[in-house]
Amino acid sequence: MVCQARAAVLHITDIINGAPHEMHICEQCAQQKGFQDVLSNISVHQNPATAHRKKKQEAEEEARRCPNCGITLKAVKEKMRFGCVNDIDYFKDFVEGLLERIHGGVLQHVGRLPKTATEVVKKENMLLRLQREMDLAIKSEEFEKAAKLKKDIEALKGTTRKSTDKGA
Amino acid sequence: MATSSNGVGEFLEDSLERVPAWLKATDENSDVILSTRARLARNLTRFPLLTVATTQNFAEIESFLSDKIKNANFKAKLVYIRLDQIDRADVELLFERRIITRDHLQSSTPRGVAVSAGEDVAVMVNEEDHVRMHTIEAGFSPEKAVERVFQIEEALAEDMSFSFHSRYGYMTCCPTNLGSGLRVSILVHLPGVVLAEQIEKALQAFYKMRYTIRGFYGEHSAPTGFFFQIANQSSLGRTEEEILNEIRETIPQLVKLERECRERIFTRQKEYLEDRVFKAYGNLSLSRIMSTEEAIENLSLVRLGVSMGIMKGNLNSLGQLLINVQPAHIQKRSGKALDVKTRDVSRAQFVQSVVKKAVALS
Repeated sequence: MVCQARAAVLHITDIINGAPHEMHICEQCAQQKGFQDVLSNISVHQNPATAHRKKKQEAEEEARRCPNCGITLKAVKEKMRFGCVNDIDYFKDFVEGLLERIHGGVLQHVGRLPKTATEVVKKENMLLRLQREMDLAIKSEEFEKAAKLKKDIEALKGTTRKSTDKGA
Repeated sequence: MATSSNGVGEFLEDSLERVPAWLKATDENSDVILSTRARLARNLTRFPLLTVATTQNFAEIESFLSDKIKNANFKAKLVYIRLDQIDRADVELLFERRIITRDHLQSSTPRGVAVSAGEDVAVMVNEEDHVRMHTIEAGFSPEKAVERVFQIEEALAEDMSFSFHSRYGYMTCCPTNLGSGLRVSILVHLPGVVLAEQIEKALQAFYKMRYTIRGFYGEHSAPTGFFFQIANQSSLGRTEEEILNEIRETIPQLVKLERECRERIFTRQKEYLEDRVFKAYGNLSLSRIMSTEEAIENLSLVRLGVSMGIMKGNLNSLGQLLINVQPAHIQKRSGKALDVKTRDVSRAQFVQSVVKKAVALS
């Protein structure tokens, strides 16, 4: 795969120095790499019902516009770029699938935070980080370390509960 | 330390004689792992992302960020260069020295880069994101590269607010950079693995782990001269420490494979290996015309020859030559605009003069 993000529609086997080299390319990368002729031949033989469905989908994507930055879903898909932070939630259905394909695993930020992050975000981030550290410690059989981390997690959860109680 | 726009001319002029700090071979594996680069991508809350930015936005962002960068409390002293206000040839020079990326070179909007004297720290303004900062360390030093790039980020963060999504982390234009926005890339030299025809297998292993592999020039390039840049694709869902751990575990295995492959070729196909190395030396020493690609391919083989003791040489000089054979460097050395043919002749002459001094047949 070239972009590692979109599903491949073209599977090409090249012979280089006598050895086969396979390429799996999505529609967008194929266009960028100049495989338009191959693609258009495929579309000619496409089922008219599929073509109609595809056109309808494209029209819908063009109509869906982020209220904050004005970018359309069509543009986000074509460029593989966001227009603003709001796009992530506004085009949620598309974005979640995309992030799953790119990143796999845990679709949640567990790295360092900016100083401006809220207390809630900071606590959740810390809990996730401690949890991951604990899982890794168990995996590498560092049980004493894992036990200590478990205590840290409980303590942090306890703090959250206490402040919630205070607010109640 | 202060960043300033003074000294831009000097910085560019001195490029030909200056050796980047990251190019100096530091340990016994420097022949396989040349350098480690750590990069962070960030955007500001107060401006639109570059995907939807207007021409005026670009100018405002550049002005705002260059001002902040000039006043930030960095450990190293940086020179700020406004890329849309210098000669195109000099922008190409910066690209060839890995100070800016290809995207940054090819853009034409108001943009800049702040760079250290050792060329091991750079902060790009208006590349794909508002600000992209990177550090490059010689050899295999992922921890140091990551630590230093975060120091740069912290210095900037004192005076600006980075766009952040509560679930998906730091906001970037490209979905691949969400999360920590951290990319760690290692520049490796794998002639053994390629010649032993193990490269596809080795690369597949990295693709499976969600790594990208690119050539010598970075994004979109083919692997010339057996040089590869291996980088983590994903920065979401793992801590910075986890990304580092994975690199610390996998790259040494690649080094081991490279050494095994070299040993195997040396033992079983000694004449073949020596033939290729000596022919490359011959090309470098005697050619009248040489393209950049040819130069890098031949240098790569001679570099292998030196690493394996087939010939005597200076790895650092050869590394420097890898930078100096590139088109903008050859042109700058000649002091005038050259067409491709004249450049290729000039390159052949230059390479001859350096290789004579840097390499000796044992």
